[in-house]
Amino acid sequence: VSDYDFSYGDDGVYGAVIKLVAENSHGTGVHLDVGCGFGAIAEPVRERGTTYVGVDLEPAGLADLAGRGFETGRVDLRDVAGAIAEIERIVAGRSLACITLLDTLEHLADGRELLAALQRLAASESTPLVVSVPNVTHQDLGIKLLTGRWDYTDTGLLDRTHLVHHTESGLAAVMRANGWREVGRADFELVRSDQDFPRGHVGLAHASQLNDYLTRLRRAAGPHATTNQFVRAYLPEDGGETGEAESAEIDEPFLTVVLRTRADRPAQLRDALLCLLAQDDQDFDVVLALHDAAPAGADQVLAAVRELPASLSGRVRLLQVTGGGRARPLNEAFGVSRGEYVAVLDDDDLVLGHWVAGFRPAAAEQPGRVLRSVCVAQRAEQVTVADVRAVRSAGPVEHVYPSSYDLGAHLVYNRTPFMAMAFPRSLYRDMGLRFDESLDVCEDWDFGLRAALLVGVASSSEVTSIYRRWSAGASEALHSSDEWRAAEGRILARLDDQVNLFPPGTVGRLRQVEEMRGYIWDLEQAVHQYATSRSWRLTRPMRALLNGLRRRSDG
Amino acid sequence: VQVQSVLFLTDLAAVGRGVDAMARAVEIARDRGSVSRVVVAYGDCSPRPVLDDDVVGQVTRTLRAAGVDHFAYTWFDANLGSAGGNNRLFEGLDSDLVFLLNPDTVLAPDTVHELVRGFDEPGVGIVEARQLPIEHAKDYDVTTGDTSWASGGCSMADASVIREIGGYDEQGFFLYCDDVDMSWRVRLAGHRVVHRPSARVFHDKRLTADGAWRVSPAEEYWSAEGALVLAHKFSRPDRVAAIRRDLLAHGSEEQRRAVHDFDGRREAGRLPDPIDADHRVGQFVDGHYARHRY
Repeated sequence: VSDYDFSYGDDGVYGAVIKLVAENSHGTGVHLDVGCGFGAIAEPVRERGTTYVGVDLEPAGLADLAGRGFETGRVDLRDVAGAIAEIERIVAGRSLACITLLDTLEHLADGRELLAALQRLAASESTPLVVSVPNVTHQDLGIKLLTGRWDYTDTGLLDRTHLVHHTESGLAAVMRANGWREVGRADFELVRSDQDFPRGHVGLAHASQLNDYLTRLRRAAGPHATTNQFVRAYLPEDGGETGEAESAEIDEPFLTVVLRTRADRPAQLRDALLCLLAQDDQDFDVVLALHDAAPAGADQVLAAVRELPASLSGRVRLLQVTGGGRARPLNEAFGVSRGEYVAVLDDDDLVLGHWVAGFRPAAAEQPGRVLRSVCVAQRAEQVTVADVRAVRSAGPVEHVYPSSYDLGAHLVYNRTPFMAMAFPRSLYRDMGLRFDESLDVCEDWDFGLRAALLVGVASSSEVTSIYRRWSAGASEALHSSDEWRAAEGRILARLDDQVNLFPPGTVGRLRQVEEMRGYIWDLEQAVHQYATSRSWRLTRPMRALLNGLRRRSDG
Repeated sequence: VQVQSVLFLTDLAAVGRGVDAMARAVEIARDRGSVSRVVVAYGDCSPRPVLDDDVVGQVTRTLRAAGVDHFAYTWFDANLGSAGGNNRLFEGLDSDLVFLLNPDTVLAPDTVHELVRGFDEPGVGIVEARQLPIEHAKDYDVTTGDTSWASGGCSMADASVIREIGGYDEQGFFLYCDDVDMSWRVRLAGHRVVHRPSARVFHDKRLTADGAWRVSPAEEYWSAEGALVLAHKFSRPDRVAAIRRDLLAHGSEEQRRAVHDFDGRREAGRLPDPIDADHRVGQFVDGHYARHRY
């Protein structure tokens, strides 16, 4: 299969392979190197005390290996049955210590049959398999593809003879499906891959803002942005999984409602559940995140869910979350959400009957954006009436939050209670956006800002939710002002430490701000000139006298 | 318990949600032993029946599966109003309790149980649920729940009390203030009207973009008409005069029309006879029928 002659180096891909071989290979027996090429790992393998056997189709590599004193065999991996028969003939009943399949899988139009055959070969002695394949999701390839480039080369990430390009999830799926369980990894990292050309490409140049932005997106979206080669060790196991391809989204509801509770406000939670039961658009499911809930409280929550009509209780999933701050349950709940969008309710929030439906028009008109409706505020309090604890409103509905989302205003402070926003789930699933678990407060503001800076916000002026301000026990009261200021400082510093994507209209806003700064500077100069003028200095004693008289008359 | 609702061009999907929730609430109340026999009666004031035979069949099956003993749907073929429609449904009332419910509401699973529990207290004639998401602002005693009046949107009444006072005053009130009037007559008869915040009901209300109530022209008309009749009936001519002045000076076209129609009824002698001459129950505070919390 291979006619490449790459030498071994401890710091290279082959060094990573040998590390996994050392960790997983049986102590003695045959090391079978399938698709061996020139056998770059042959000597290190022999030094480990196993018997290296290389098999390949290309004669040059085999001849070279034979000349170095190694056993070889000529096999055509496109004929898997024939190749396995030849391998069995060469191994001749000897114990198999390890199998390697390096830079080979990507050259096969369909490697599944070979992987399954090797699994059968390895099963009896539980022989490990070490695989290496290039990573097609390296950031260099993504950035170049974005600008219309897909540059095949003689060797490397885009070797012109590669038939299959591997992603991590794709590799994991095909290995699992053919009976291989991953037991080790030593992926080879390369920030600047062999695809780092043409020279001066501003998307690839490491000091450009564009590169900074694109590589940050890529890193956030998932691991392996700079992995050049996946190097993985596997063990055979009984029965492969079916469904190799990533499963399509089935019955994805429009919205997943994450309902966050500590299970210590049963009356409020029941209010929230009733609001959900009464939604005129029922195309949603609920992830009820119980965060550090005491057993008695959790039982009450469970009872409240069981009491709901089956039409809703069947769509509620309970998620027990332990430890962490306010952000932890949100991350875990987003992780198990299935909706196209995800919205968060705290257990003391109230929503109107068209809360879910109210997100629909913006989703249809501006898909992919964060959806934002309007929330009003209302004071509330706990009461005990006829010996039963309950809650009630304690003030009028107050229209205190703006009718549309303004990013600039939100950078000053949060003006959108969290339940008035719905986030495309793709932000979490595809872009790696997470709640910052180091924040004890403002985790919603932080997430909302980062989401808005990434995909923008589609606003609706419809009032669909009520933020209840409790006379006691609100998060504002539970945390000190120092905590709030510190969190705000961290959030803004982090945003300002990176390249951001601002919505249309920002240039005009920035210009206005700069013009305003210039105007203020001019005013300051005028005041300074006046204050240092001769007439102002000469009249100082008179002003002092008048001020003194004024103070005396006030006192 | 007899559960009863009066429909008027009610959205079918809303009826379905309401029935689904009601069925569950009845089921839970039965499980907890707070109710035994339950009948549900829907009366329809719409020009054409809102529920066809198929829907009636579905509703019947849903309710029967939840333990409801009987469901009856009556199309009145006339717009009797809320008061008149409910009075028709009161005819032949043989239950201990009657649950008055707007058809576009959604009950919490424990609401029927909670409302029935409200009658454990002595002397209670009506128990009112708390409406969500926009709660009513009228005040109540935070220890006992006693309040000025109970909304007909979701209240449970002692059926014997309803019989005692003769139900709603359908001659006096068509759509609005009929529940205030009935509550005050219940209190005049010596019974308590209590609010029970642990009994929840979702009543679908919408707010305008600036956070205010969204009021339809019909609501403007009937609430103005109800306010005038209520003030007249509870012996507050001063309030009648003040409301008239205010509506004529600042009211909408619908509200001014309501004043003219009220004047016409007065001239024709078609207003109810005044009661509560010594103002024992009638409360007129800042345009409301109770002191409000805010």
